[in-house]
Amino acid sequence: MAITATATSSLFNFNCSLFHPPSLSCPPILPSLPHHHLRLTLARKFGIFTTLPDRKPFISNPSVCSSSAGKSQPMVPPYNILITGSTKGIGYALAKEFLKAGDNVLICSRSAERVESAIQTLRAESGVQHVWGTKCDVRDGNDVKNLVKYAQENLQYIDIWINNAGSNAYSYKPLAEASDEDLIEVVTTNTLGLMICCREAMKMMLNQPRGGHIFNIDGAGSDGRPTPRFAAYGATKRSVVHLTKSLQAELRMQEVSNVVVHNLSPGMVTTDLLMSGANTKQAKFFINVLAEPADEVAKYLVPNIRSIPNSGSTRPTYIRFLTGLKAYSQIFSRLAFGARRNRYMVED
Amino acid sequence: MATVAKFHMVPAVFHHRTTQLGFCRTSVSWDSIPPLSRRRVFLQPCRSFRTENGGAKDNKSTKKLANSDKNKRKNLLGAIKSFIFSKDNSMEKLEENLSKIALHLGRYIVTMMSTGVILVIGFNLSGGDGQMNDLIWYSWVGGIIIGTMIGSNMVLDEVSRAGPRNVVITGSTRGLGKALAREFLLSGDRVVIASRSEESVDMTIKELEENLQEGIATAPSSCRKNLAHAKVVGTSCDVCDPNDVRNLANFAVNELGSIDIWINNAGTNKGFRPLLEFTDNDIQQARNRPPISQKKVHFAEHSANSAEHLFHSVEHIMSLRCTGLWSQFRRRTVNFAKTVLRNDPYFCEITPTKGISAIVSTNLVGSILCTREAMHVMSNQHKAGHIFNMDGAGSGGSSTPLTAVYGSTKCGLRQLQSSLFKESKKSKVGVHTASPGMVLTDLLLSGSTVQNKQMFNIICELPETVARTLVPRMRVVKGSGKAINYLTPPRILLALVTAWVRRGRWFDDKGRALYAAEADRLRNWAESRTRFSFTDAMEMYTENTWVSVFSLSIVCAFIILSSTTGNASPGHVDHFHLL
Repeated sequence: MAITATATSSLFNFNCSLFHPPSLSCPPILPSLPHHHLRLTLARKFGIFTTLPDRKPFISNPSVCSSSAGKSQPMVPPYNILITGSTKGIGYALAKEFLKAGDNVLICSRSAERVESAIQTLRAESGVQHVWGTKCDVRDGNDVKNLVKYAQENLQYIDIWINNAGSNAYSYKPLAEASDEDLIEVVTTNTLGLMICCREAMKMMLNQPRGGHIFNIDGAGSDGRPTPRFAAYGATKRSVVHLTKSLQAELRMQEVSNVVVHNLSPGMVTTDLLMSGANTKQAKFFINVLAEPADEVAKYLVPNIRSIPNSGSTRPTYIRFLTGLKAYSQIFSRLAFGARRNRYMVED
Repeated sequence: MATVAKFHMVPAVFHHRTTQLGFCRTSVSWDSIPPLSRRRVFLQPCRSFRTENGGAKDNKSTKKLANSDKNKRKNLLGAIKSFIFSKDNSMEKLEENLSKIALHLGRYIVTMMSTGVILVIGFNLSGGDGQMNDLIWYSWVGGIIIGTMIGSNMVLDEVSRAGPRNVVITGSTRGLGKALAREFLLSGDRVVIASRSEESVDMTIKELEENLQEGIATAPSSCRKNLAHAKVVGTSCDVCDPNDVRNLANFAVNELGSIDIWINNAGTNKGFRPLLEFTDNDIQQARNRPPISQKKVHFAEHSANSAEHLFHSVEHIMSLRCTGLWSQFRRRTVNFAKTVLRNDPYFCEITPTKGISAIVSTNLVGSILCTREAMHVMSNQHKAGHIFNMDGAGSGGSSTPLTAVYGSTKCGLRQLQSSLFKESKKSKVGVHTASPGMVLTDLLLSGSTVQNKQMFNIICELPETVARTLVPRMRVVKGSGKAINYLTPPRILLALVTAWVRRGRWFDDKGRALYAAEADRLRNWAESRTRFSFTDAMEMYTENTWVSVFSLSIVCAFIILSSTTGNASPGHVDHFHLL
């Protein structure tokens, strides 16, 4: 029983997180302008609307929302995808997978150089010119507003916005030993950044005739179980799930149906963030048993994410890669047959 | 239960022994026992006792070797005793302790005697039936055990409630924080208050000191002694700033020496709106509240207070008592003063500075930083410490539309609490949550609608009421990971059952406030403070006593069942006798 209890508590994902100081120089990225004329003009019209800074939030008047929903268009592929914190780890893997599926992807991160290099590699790998990128620090409201502006200029609209930027400051310590900077970094990136992104994404999508889907990536602790050694991270991820719930309730209250907020759980992903915490026996055990490489996770998640706009569903979902059943069966096979022993790292 | 009972007995026995030793000191020899050589090194500092009556002891020492076994213990206890009571007032303390123990002992003996009487009555009624006599014996023993447990629990609580605590409360210049600070203060504790604005900290200190003086003046003499150590100090502290928090901790340690209880009360909500309407303004803006409004509020508060004082002196001169009409008139006038001075008496204290950042920083970053700092301080001090994080809407995980940001921070805090509980398992720092339920403060009221207020009528409480329930339980908290809630199931049930009666409790149907201003409320509270509150008492003993009562009822059931299987029996006697 002790194992099952800790097992689910350590189903943490460590998504791509970016810590290099953002450089000021942002090389101009010249995207090839995409697609149909009609869409472009329509979106331009709305794009102009949304970029006005002092406009009253659209949401305060539900009737206006429904009128725009009246002219709503069906969401058809290729989709326009925006992924925050997507130059490494799971965010990068998701971007790659979406490109493979033929979608247009906008990536961003705190470091302009890394954005640029990620764009280069993605273009080289996928062989198509459907990727854009810009520098964006999610903790900064203006940065996020600029991101939205950038998206509207280059892609006109965003169908799927994935809030992936998250951080644990690469530190695994009891709270009593954590430093000020780490704590503030974790909380502002994971909670504040996510809230600002959600708000901007909702603002943007409420003005799009196609609506949109927002995905918030959860992590260890989002089920409310304790996460010793990374208490602050767990608390922020718990708040992510709660925020999603509250936003769903708010949208329901305002009778908005074409903008949907979802949760997305990649489970444990073998990114730098997870591996940096693998210094205890227990952690090694669970990483070997439960973690998967980012590409594997993305391969599972992307079709699932794309199936939502495909089916036209407007119901909030919680897509999980590592379901409880899967986790328990993997733990069982490890204990019974020794499967996955020393898979990523040598256990004692 | 058994362990609790034992725990209680330890100090009593200890005092008892020490006192005994104190009175027959001459018969104790200090140098007589060779086998205690290792301990004697420890005993060295206590030599001064020997010099007082050294000669006699040396003579006796040879005789004493015979019953050294007995003396060993006495010697040790004597040493400990003298170690503890080595100061000049040791005798006074000793007497005090002795009288306390004698009181408890006396109570115990009286209780035992009365049970003996009941026992005898039981035997008489049973008429010499062997089975019945056995039953009576069993139930008597059961009753004694349970009674001892309840009694020792009560005594233990009494003991642990005594003595001043050092308390730090963040965000304590308004609302619930202030009420908590006042309540701690009136329980005789030393309180550090903190808030962002230095000005309001100073004002609050002054106000609380006044309250304390009033409390001392009105308290009965027995309670006055408890209040002797009470004091309130404060400093400005923005919980989002790590340096500020560190300064607060240092300030508290410098002023009070140690921290027993740290309450993370600072929290903010910024009104009820959809997320889209929140701006992400920086913390800076939130930190500097609009100065004009603040001043206005202070001015209004001052004028209202002076009006209050005026009325008070008028009352005094005319020796008017607070009869219905007069008090109503007074309250209305004071309220009017406030209304005129700041347009809206209760809610406009802060013009809500909108900001996600401010909410996240205060609620989540602030609590994390404060908790960490408190853990630092507490793990470096001798005494154990307790940290309380305040729950709020959303803690349970249910969605909170219109307060999405606030709710998700509070939800995150609950998870943080469970992680911290695991991390601090081996340390002496206890992390707890306190849930005030819904309190009529600016946090709740800023931006609430008329419908909201109708709902508040049913479930809301004044901050003083909540503080009065929470504080005694915070003071006696033990261990770690406890949850101290105001809105317990019985209270919720009561609120729902009486919902119809509570309709116009705080707000009328247009959403205007009907309840008295803070100063007025406090006066009424001072009068009713001493009154016994049944629900409070019930809540206090929930964990322990109800278990006892439950086991008691099981014993009763057992007796009834077994007596019905026997011949016709006076089962009710057993009942009576157990109770």
